[in-house]
Amino acid sequence: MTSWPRDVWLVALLALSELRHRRSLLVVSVITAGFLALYGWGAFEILGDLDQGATADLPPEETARGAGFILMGIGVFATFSLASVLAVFTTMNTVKGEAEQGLLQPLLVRPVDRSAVVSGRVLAATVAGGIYCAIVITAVSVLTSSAGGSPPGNLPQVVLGLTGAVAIVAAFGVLVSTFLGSAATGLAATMLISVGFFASLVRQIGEATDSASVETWAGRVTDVLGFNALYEGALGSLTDGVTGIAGLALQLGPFGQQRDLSTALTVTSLAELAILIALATWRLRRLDL
Amino acid sequence: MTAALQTTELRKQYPGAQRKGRGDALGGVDLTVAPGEIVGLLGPNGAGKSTLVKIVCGLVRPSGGTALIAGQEAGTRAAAARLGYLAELFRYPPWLTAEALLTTHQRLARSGGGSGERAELLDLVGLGDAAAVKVGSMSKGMQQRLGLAQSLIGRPALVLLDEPTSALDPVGRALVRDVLGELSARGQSVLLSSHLLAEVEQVADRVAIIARGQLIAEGSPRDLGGAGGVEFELASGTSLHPTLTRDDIPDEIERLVARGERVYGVRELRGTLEQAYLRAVREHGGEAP
Ligand SMILES: Nc1ncnc2c1ncn2[C@@H]1O[C@H](COP(=O)(O)OP(=O)(O)O)[C@@H](O)[C@H]1O
Ligand SMILES: [Mg+2]
Repeated sequence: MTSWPRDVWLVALLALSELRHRRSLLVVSVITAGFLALYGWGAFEILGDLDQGATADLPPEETARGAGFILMGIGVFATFSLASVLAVFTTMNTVKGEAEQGLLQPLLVRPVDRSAVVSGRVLAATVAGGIYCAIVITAVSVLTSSAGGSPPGNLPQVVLGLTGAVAIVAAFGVLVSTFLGSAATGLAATMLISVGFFASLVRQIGEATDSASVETWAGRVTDVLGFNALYEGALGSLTDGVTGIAGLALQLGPFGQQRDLSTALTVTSLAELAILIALATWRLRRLDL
Repeated sequence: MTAALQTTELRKQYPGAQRKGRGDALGGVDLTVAPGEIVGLLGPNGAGKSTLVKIVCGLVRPSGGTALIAGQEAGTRAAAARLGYLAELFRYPPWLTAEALLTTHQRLARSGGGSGERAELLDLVGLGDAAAVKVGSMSKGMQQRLGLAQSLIGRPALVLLDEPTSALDPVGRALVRDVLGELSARGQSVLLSSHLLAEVEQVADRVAIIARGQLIAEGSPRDLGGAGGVEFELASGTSLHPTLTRDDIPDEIERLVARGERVYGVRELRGTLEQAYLRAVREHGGEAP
């Protein structure tokens, strides 16, 4: 199987060229620009108000830092949502959708292993999503700093965590596309992301209210939906090495639980990715197209 | 010599077919295509032609039996490396040019033919001037010719064409006939599924007729047509002797001359493939329900 990486790359290039030639990239750019404009405006307004010393009895730097991190939390959440939508849209037609149109068959009859077809699609979505996350997180961070907030803890790790999350979303997308047509796959994958986010919030509430069973069960759901665990990891990387009120502000923020982007999380995420790709490959081998 | 294609007891029952009261899409088909041979696969709609072709190129999993492509089991990469396929319903990415599509498939098929092969194939299908034309702005007929070129990349031992002339005008069809002749001369084999009898009659060395998933007749178009009598051109006009065969001609001429007739011409008549086809299909219950 020496040619396997080459085949994966070939399939990924095809998928990326599709992304480039459809309208999706334009839509994504326009909406992202809109989000960044809104974010920048919000950041300058909020941090500007803080400068005028309007709040509380905390030292003003601490308040500004806390507010800055909450804003970054919003940024990470929004980036994850937008990148996930991108990943869903690049993968939702992979199997059934393209087979119905007759686009997939010419590819499948070539001497290319089905696992390369699946992996190539996931890779394409991950590359696109990773680049997207890097650009948007950098923009968000620059906007936050120039508005007077402090820079986040570990920016590259935030991007890495989000890229991993996007990869798992993409793998879910490809797997579901072996069962459902494009629209139904898009719907299912998007709803799955919402469920993951909801579980993350519930787990946080469970923790705050000391409800062990809620915390455990919501935690299991977020663990299974690996993209969510990685999103929480990205959120956690925001406050890496940040102490005091600012760190606390994010931990209790409304964007879900935080966790460490640990080696264990990396290993389980890679395992989940491998399992999803294996399942999708197995399905693709059994389908009559 | 290894057959280009050999199917043995090939069976397919699609999932859920039993529940819907439908029988096997293929009920145990034995078919052989020799190297350099052009075999026409004929049959009414729903007979199982596409199912047979798709099993051979690995898109559909057989429920039983085997299909070997140049000795390699269908569905393996080794088999895929030895065949080319043009689907009945296909689409290529509309933003690709003819040249780019062929390049992509050269990579997928690991053909080292380079630009020389691309130019040759485009010329062969009459698209020599259309290398830079995008698939999206091609007529359906042009796309079908491009699809034919695509199926010939890497000089596959077996070329599978499923209704390849459905979108072609008479000129396009004549072109496909020439291409098939060329392939056969080079020693490549063709399995051509069609319901256009006249077309198959002109190009096929052998014809296999299937109905309701069963092979119901097989042979050269001439043999299948059967004897149709002998026609003599006499001074008094033409006279048809429907029961005579080729072997009877010399004796019959002697008899006619002895009777004082002047013989201007003799023609042995064959039943048409169409007659044979209609006879066979009617005997076997006609179209699938
Ligand atoms: N993917 C499929 N799932 C279920 N049934 C199918 C599928 N493809 C074809 N069939 C059924 O199998 C039979 C043979 O179809 P097909 O091979 O397409 O015939 P043909 O190409 O000769 O018109 C038909 O009854 C058809 O309805
Ligand atoms: Mg068909």
